[in-house]
Amino acid sequence: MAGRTKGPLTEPMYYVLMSFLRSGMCGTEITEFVAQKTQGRVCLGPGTLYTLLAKFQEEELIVETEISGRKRTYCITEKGLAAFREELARLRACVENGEEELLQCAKNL
Amino acid sequence: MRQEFVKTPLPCSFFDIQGIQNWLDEMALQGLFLDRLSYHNDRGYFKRGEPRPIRYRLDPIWKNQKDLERKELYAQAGWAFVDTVPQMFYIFSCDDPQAPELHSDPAALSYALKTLVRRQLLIHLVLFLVSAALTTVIILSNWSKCLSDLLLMEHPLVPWVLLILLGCTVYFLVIGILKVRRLNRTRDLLEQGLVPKAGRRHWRPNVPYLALCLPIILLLNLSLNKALYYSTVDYLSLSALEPSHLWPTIAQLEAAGPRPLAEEPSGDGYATVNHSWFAPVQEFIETTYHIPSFGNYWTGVRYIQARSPWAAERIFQTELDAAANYLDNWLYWNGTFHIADLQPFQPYRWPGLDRLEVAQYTRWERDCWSLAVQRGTDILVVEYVGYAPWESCLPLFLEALEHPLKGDDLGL
Repeated sequence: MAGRTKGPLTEPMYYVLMSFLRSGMCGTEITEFVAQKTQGRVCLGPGTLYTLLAKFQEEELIVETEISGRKRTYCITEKGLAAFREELARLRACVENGEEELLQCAKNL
Repeated sequence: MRQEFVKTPLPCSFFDIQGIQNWLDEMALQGLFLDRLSYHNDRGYFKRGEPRPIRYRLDPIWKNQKDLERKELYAQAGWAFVDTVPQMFYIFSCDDPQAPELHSDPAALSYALKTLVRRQLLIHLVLFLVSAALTTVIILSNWSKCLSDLLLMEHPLVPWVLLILLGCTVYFLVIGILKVRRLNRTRDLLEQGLVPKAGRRHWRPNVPYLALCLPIILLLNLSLNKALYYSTVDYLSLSALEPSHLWPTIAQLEAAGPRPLAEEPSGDGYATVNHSWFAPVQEFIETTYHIPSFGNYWTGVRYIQARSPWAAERIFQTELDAAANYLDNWLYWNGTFHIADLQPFQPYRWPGLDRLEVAQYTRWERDCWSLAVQRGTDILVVEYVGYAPWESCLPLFLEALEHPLKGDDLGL
């Protein structure tokens, strides 16, 4: 299944999508997950999180699964998973390319 | 005593998001804390307090929003709701320097701006279309009058009024394009992960805009009214007129009919003269004669000399339309000048004339006629209340046309 068609994900987008891989999550849990995973390097602003949740819902990368009071829980979809895998492959390729070049550079030196 | 509330004009465009945010932050450092922003008044309303650093952020409103949830989520992160600018932005503030930025990902903010851009595009498109449609309707529904004004310049300011209308339409288009372009540029920068710089600040008067706009609107309205009714047509007494041709008198006309007059009666009336580039000679002579035992006679002679056959054709058509409208109006009029049995203008062939149209009707219980003639650059419209038929009178007018009193070139 094809993932997104709108170019690479930004770092916050990537981590937000990653946060759903193990289980469904609500807004606060996503913020905590991202902060913990990146050791505070990626700080997710509430506006960004709220926008990304709506954007991913619109693109059908995630779905709302539960509403408990004011807490909304979201889960990743097949399409979302495909988009994440695509982005992972892209990042992997980027890293591999970078490492190859660095290795060549080291040999030349 | 210092006022608790302060209102200040916005120093930059509403769509300069960074500019507005910086300004609000600076105001907080001066002890002025935002209470609300008014888009239509172009003002910020502030409450006084102890100066302290506060961050203000504009959060674009977009579709599928769940406002309460959004506000709660933001509140948990330290961002308090301040105000809504309808259909455009929510404004949040945060006095905790440790709290994360409201939008930490510029690309996500760019996405949030998408709806705002579309909405602005739609608003300005609708404004432009409505303005363009209104202008078109106004011009088309008065096309004959507009063309006549343009060619004859009887109301020389009317074309300027139309230009102002067109200008308003173009203004809406340009303003819309500029706003949407600015928002799109902001979106593009954000999409690339860049934060747009604040735009230049402008001085704006700190007086209610109504106080500025009301006199301008009144003045504009007054000027437009004056302009629409301003006329360059000169009204003269019959004795003061120097006619372009020696038009046939009532006695000469009646001599061609079944009830010739014994002598030339004296008549009352007036004349008008005007000129324009397209029609250097324009005159109208209206004369009423009261002859005991014969009743009232009336003639209206309108003569126009156009600069070119092209102009003559168009002027003839507008004059014909005006004459037809004039008869239509009297047809439904219930007063002294009421006409009946109207046979509208019909084309006739006549040697030497490019166009001839004649209408016939009854007025004051006698058969009357109006005719419109184009011969080269000459246009002649005659209305006649008398007894002589148009076929007998037309040669007299054509004879007069042959001999202009001011020479062949007239005003040309």
